[in-house]
Amino acid sequence: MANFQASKLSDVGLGLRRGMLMHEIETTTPDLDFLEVAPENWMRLGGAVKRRFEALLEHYPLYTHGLSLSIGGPAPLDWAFIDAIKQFLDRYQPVLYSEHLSFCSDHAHLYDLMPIPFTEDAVNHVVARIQQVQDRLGRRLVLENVSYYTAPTAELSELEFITTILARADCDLLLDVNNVYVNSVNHQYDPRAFINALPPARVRYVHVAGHWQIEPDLIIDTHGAPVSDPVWDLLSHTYTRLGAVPTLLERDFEIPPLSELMGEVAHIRALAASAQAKRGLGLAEGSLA
Amino acid sequence: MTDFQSLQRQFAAFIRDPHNTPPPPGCDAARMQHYHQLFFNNFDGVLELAYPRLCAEVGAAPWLELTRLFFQTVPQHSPYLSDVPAQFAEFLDAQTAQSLSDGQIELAAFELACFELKTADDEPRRTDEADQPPQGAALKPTWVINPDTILFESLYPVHDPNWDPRGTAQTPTFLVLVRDPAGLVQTYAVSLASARLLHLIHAHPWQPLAVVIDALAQELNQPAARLLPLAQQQITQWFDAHVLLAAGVAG
Repeated sequence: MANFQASKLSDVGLGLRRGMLMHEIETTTPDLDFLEVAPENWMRLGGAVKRRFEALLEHYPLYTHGLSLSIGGPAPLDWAFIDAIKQFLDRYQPVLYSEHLSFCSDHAHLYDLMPIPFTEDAVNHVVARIQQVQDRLGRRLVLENVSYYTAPTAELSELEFITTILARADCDLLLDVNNVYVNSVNHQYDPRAFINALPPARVRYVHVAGHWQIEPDLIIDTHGAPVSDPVWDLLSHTYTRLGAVPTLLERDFEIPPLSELMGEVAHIRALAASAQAKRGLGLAEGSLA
Repeated sequence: MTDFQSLQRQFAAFIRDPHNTPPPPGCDAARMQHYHQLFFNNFDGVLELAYPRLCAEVGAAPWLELTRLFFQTVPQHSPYLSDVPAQFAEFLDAQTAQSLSDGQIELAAFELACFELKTADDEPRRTDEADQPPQGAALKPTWVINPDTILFESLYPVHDPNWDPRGTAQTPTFLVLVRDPAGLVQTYAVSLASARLLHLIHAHPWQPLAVVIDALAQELNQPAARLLPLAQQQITQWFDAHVLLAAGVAG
């Protein structure tokens, strides 16, 4: 594998998926700073696709974003699976390994993300498991705030739940800006205030994506559309608040031609540059207070 | 207050079977239905990807009845979504909700073999990585079967898109499935004799062709001299199709 230096703060990447998008990336080598993969979708692949994946890693640094860890799940951690993840990470040496602050299984897998109940007992449970996984992997977990549509009766707010876990487990945050916006509409809070309250030093990675608004007060996090204007605004606010952070444009469904995605990549870079300029002038929100 | 793990189990149980499960305390029932639909669509999507012909053959409504029942009742213990199609094949064999023909069950097995071969974690074996022949053997060319190859036997022509899986007429069919260097699964229909030849090459990887042909001739009760040119022609075709890889030389 190629040996890349640590990412610049303004890095922008795309998720690598088999199919036309992978072909376009291979043939045009677009101006991307990294590629992201879900280890579960690549770690057991063989043949030509595996060779093509490894060839792309000669050109691009790798970020990883897991799906099936179920860090908040009620069942015991799957150590055989975690060891397989470690083997993948050790082999390909990604810049980071991110996962979801959620659960995706009870006694069996459901292959999608469910919100962990926001309770003190759940915090204790998740913190202990994060520490075990970090020890086993020998690297820090970067956990994503997930979107959710309804949640069981809670003792804590979403914000309290996330920030307490980050502090107590000493792990990092993948700030999904689209998810903050989605949740702010679904559960009626101020998304800017939410982002302002996050600990800046723990935000190592940002995701941004499109969504589907099906009712005035309900948005589904689809990753199947261009990024919406309110999310662009919130991303701009995030950069102004936190500085530019490596950012992934997520697109998992209704994937358009690469040229269209690169337009959104360019917009992310422009927002990051603009925010950095503002910060240079001391205009970061909160700095004038 | 209900402990959080009970809430989690209720949440997951509702997603699997919303008609027979109450929503967890505090959850909006209508929004929980969105969870059910999103999760089920994800599940159904991978099954439609793995079984495109079976899905079309069964029909939309019966297919959804099958996949929904599978989603509700069969726990998935693998963290890999790509393992779900294999579980579905076992479910199809055991379920009684839909009456599937033997041909439809065979079609499912064929589509699963193609799906798994396409993504299997087996590097194509390069000739320079092949095992070495036994020492002291006379030098004659030998072959090994590409590890990305499956010999698929069926009572039906499952590879033929024009075949009607609901029909009862049986046509014993021998198929060689191989993942080619581009990563695509190619399907070749072969005769019983060719299928046996491939079996024997697999069973005796270091035997020269003449020895393999002798064994085949005994099985088929045919003169070896008559089979040899046909076998050589077949081997050349398989080599071109990446079914066989040159292994080197042996006695």
